[in-house]
Amino acid sequence: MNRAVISTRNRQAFFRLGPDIVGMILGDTAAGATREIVRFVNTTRYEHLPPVGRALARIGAIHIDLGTRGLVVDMEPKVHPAIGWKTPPHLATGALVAEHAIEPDEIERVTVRSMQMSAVVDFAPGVLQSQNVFI
Amino acid sequence: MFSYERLTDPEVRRLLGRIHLGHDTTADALYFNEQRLLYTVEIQLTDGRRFSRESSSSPVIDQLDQLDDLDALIGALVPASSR
Repeated sequence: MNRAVISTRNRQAFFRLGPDIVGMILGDTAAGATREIVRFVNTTRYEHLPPVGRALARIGAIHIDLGTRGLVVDMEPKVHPAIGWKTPPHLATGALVAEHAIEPDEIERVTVRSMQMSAVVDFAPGVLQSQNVFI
Repeated sequence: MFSYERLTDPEVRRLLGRIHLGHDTTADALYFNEQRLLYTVEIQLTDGRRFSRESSSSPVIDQLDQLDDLDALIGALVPASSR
């Protein structure tokens, strides 16, 4: 049995794909059963250690024998910043609907205008992809 | 909320097709100069009426608020030494 530490320099990847990363760890542990303790690290404290584990999660295997062959001893949840990004348009839409008593079948068109920026939208080990997206 | 029935609801699909995104260069400047988010939502009704509203926030403050909320939620599950 090995003690595993999973780390990354790409903090944004963890922010965006936290649940997937957790799934990767759990799935790897459940499927391989080679690690007694897996520690999910999303800080830079252990960035000097090489990453371990599968690059892709097998989601279907996540729950296999969880708690018997795999054990999560520590996890640091990180908040996805998209919640903050998406709050303003939700609030504006809700206020308009309430103020004018808008019914769904009355709506012809909704236009949301905001900034456009380049963002990292996906993560794979050693590969960063970006595209223009509306936040 | 995200059930298959809800996601495939014809009324929801119809509304999704009526939502359009637009680029606002003012919002670009506001974010990069002041780190504030600006959104403008305009709803046009079938009778021709249009309603518009702006909404803005600071993503940094929002994230801190969320961390406070998260701390309250996980307090009973995760020891302080592990956070």
